[in-house]
Amino acid sequence: MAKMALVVDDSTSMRQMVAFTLQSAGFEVIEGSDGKDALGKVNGKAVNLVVTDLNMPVMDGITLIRELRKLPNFKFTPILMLTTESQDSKKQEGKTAGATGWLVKPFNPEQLLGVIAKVVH
Amino acid sequence: MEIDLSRFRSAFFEEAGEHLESMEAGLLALETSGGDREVLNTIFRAAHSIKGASSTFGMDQVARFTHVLENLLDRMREGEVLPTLELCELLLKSTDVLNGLIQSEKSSTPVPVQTESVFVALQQYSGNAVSSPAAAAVTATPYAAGQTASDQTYRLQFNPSGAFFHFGQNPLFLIDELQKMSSGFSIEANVSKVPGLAALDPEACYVGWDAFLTTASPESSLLDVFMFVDGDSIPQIKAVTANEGPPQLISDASVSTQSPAAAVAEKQKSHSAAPQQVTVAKTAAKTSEASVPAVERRTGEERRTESAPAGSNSAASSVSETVRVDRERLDKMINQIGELVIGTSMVEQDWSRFHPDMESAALVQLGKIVRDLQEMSLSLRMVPIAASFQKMTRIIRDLSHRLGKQIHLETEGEDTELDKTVVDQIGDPLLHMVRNSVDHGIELPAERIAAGKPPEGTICLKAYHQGGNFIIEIQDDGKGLDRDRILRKAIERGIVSEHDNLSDEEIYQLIFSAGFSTAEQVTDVSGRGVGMDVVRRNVEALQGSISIRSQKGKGCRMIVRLPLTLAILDGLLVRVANDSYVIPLLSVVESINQKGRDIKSVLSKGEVITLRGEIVPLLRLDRILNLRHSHDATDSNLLVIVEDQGRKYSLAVDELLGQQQVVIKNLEANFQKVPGVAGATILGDGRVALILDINGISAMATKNHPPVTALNHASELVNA
Repeated sequence: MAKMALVVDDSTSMRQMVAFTLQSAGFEVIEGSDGKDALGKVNGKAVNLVVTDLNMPVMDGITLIRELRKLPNFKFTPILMLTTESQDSKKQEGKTAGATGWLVKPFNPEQLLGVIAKVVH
Repeated sequence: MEIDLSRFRSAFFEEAGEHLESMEAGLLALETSGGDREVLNTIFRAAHSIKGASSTFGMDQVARFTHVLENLLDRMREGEVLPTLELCELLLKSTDVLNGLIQSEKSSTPVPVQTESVFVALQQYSGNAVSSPAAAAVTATPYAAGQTASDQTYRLQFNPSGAFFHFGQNPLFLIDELQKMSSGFSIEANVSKVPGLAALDPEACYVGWDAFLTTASPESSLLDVFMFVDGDSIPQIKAVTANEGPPQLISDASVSTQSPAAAVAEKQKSHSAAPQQVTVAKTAAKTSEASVPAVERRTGEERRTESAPAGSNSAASSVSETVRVDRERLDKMINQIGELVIGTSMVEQDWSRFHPDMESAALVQLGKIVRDLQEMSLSLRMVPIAASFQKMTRIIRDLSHRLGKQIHLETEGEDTELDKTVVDQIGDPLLHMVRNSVDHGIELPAERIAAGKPPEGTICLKAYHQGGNFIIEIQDDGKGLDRDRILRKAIERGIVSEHDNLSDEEIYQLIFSAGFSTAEQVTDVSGRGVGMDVVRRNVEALQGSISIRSQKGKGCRMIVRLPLTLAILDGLLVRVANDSYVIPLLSVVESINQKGRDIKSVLSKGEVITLRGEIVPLLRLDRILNLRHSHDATDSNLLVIVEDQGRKYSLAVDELLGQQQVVIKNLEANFQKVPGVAGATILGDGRVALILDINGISAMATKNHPPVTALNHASELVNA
């Protein structure tokens, strides 16, 4: 069975780029445009990886991470957050909420795959 | 893997446009409401989003600019910088620059000239402490320096916290990664903390590891492996010398990382098998310092404790779930569904011809589904008018500042939906009308006070649906149109003659005539005399109309009436001679029986009828369209009264066939533009009917057009 990934970003271009990169690495991708949307889309289903932006409308990434960690299927799922270099405090907040790791924007597909290799085999 | 990032650029441009719009709206709101946190958050998020994506897609200019902008907005969000009017002005200007920068990425236009000055101004506001993305890129790889090429042995003690798994971490992946970068690797699991089965929490991590590894990579890259590990879980790393080294190092690095238990087993095996291979450390000078590694050692952005608007439901920026579809594909689909509707009515007609007394339940069902489908497909192209209204906010603000006027904009019904094609094309006309109101309608504060009005003028933009039409109203409480002056000017310009007996509405409509301008002085805002005539042309091209209500001293109201969609049209199907024609229902006032009415011939000007005391020109469609009647033309008793630009005409037709919704087929795209014809449609019985353009027909009649050859061709096509 193909590995599943959840990609959450309110920016369509970023989401498409991440999704496309993951797809070419063999993932099947579920896309969400904000935290709430993503929670609805996974609906408790298990995925192998979550990549989420932090700053999003409706429900931000930190809240999403916190909510996901409450779900039985997401207890141990690697969750990567997309941050920017000016968001150090956010990164800490994300870690506290249960994020596995992060990726600093800007990044290219190779960097993304490099970080993913750290958390999913 | 090579992934071409350019494929995501068009999505970026589209979303950047939306972000810019929401920034602008936010900034305008900020100017009036002050530092509302939610508004600031929305603006910040837009800038932040543009920055993240633009930097990723290699648009450095955009990224560099949004970076300072974002910094400044962040400080505003924190209340460190207050939104003064001057600052709002600068921020608005910076959205313009940003737009220009994005456009220059999109179409290689030159970057806006004021880019640098605005950039510097933004920097000054945000307090200079801004690192550029270039600098950030350097800090992103802070470990590049101080790399040593020679091998060094380290002892690494890794004791993940109990909750380690709950962060989605897998220690085995990390060990795996360490092993891959080592030329020598030895590891031992520390299982001393594993409790008895009764006390064991299967979700907790109890195992730790003690590893010796030899590598040419610098210590920093070992820490990089653990970059996502923090707190108590951060491993202790120490460079070791030969004396401190492990008893053995295995060079083939065959330690299994399948499970802690297996690792232990492997370790026991390798203890005896591995050859001695200890590399002497050249230097251990920095060990003490490095033994407390700080993964989070990053450059000096001030730390902020931020109360994130977690889960806050911001109505201002809620993103509705959307799928972007190429417009051409959508149009094709809508067109095909139109064909399906026609096809269905053809089947229905055939059925009723062959089974006149029987209704087919299946056909009724099919017809209903198809019509629902058509309605649904048309709704796909509907978008709210909000974005067009929002642009006016900015225009009014800028213009009123420039003209020294105080104007307050009210909007109503922004969520009213309209065909995207119409929305795109109504922007310019709307802009001209709003400019006209600002420039010629609303008076200067002093004038207003003298007239007993509040100094601040109001422009109200309203949108609503009415009887299958979309209505936009632009209303101002300014001085209103000057009827006499318009008339005087129009006579001077030879647009009308002194003897014409014109109604107020007809006089007001004169402002839409080409080359008409009543402003005493031509301003750079709206007084170029072009504009209003273009407005009417554009609105009419959309099958719409404009009417004007004005009261001197009280204000003026322009009412733009538009069809909801350009794909279908409500029409009155009529027969003239042997052909069917569609008259847009929008222009139809009434239909009357002409019997007993006097038709008078006005010398060299054609025929007229008297309708409730009003003189209405009579247009004989058969003559205008050059149709051959099978019987005497004067037998026709039916007149359809239509209205175009406030003028009434009566059209003589032979038969009223009924009111019908028709799917518009563009004649221009498939054949050529034909005067008097707005398009064509296929009727339920498969025949083609031309849709009449009342404006064109009346022009052909009043100008006594010779029969137009193209029209004859088109008619012949229809008859063929």
